[in-house]
Amino acid sequence: MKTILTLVLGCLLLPLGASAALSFEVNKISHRATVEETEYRAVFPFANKGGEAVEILEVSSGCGCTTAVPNQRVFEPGESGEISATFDYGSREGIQVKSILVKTSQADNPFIDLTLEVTIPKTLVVTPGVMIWNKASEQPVQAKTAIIESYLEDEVDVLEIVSSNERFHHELEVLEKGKKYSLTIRPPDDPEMEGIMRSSFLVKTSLPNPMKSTKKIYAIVR
Amino acid sequence: MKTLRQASLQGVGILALSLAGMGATWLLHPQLPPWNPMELEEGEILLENALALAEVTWIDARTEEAYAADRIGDAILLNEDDWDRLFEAFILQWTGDTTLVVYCDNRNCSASKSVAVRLRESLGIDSVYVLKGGWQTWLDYRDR
Repeated sequence: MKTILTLVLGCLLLPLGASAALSFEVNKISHRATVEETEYRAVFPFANKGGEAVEILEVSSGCGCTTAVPNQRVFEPGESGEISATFDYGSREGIQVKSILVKTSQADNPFIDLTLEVTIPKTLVVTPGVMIWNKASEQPVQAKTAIIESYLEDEVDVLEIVSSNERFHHELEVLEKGKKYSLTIRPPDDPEMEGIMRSSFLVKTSLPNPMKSTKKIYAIVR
Repeated sequence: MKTLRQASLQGVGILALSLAGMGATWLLHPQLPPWNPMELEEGEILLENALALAEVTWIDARTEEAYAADRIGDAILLNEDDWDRLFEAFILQWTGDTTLVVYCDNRNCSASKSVAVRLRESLGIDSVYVLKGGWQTWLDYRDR
């Protein structure tokens, strides 16, 4: 009985012992961003719980928006360290999951996966952000309307619309002040026009975050 | 009788140790996701079904470097690293009447899902899918 139990226990615990070298306190960090935040720095602490020194050979992320670095390269047995990862939000919104791959010199399990999950609040949504007219099938051209809507509790005002092509006519209407606006766009009615005609409309708002304060609407006549 | 009792005890012991091992594994890898290559999440499409679409535009949501190295067919680069510039380039190329299939590196990446959400919102269309398994699934298919 004792022999069998010892064998079974050995088989079960051997892989756990062999994999214990760099041991991370957490492999996943979740964070809920504020509207003003533009980036988040997460720290993944770990300790070398194995019997040999471990070198961190490479730390990589599949996204250009995330950089991750260890505080040093080689960790002696018992030594602690950390990987710090910085995620630059840019114009991203919604749930963002960024994977970080740590490549180490340890013989067993040389790759360690870390995950950073950030929930970035939705600010403004423009629907649709692109309006396409087909000259061949849409004569005369009709106006189309986009809705600009804020998802925030505080009021967000549309301050200005900047058009890149004066031949497109546009009109902004307040549907609900600080919450909802409509932008109606009418392209030039020119059946003889050849090629593609386009314009962009930059919607400038009162949002304080410069990465989120503007939205673009595109109008294309093909 | 004694043998039966011994066998029962051994069985209980093995079961207890198995459960302990299972618990230890869960503690070490609590986030390990299940992976079923045929099971689709909302908005995902299998490679074989994407390839069967009559009119499809591939959207590459990986990094610019990965896109430059290789891509699926005439895929258009569109990621959130430089959304405004890439989106403007995309809408000038897109004909407006094809199904969009977005992919990123593999089953662990989420860039394709984020890009698909933004495309659905920006274009006001539903025919935007995420390729199950991403670029890695395409490589497995191409190299088989």
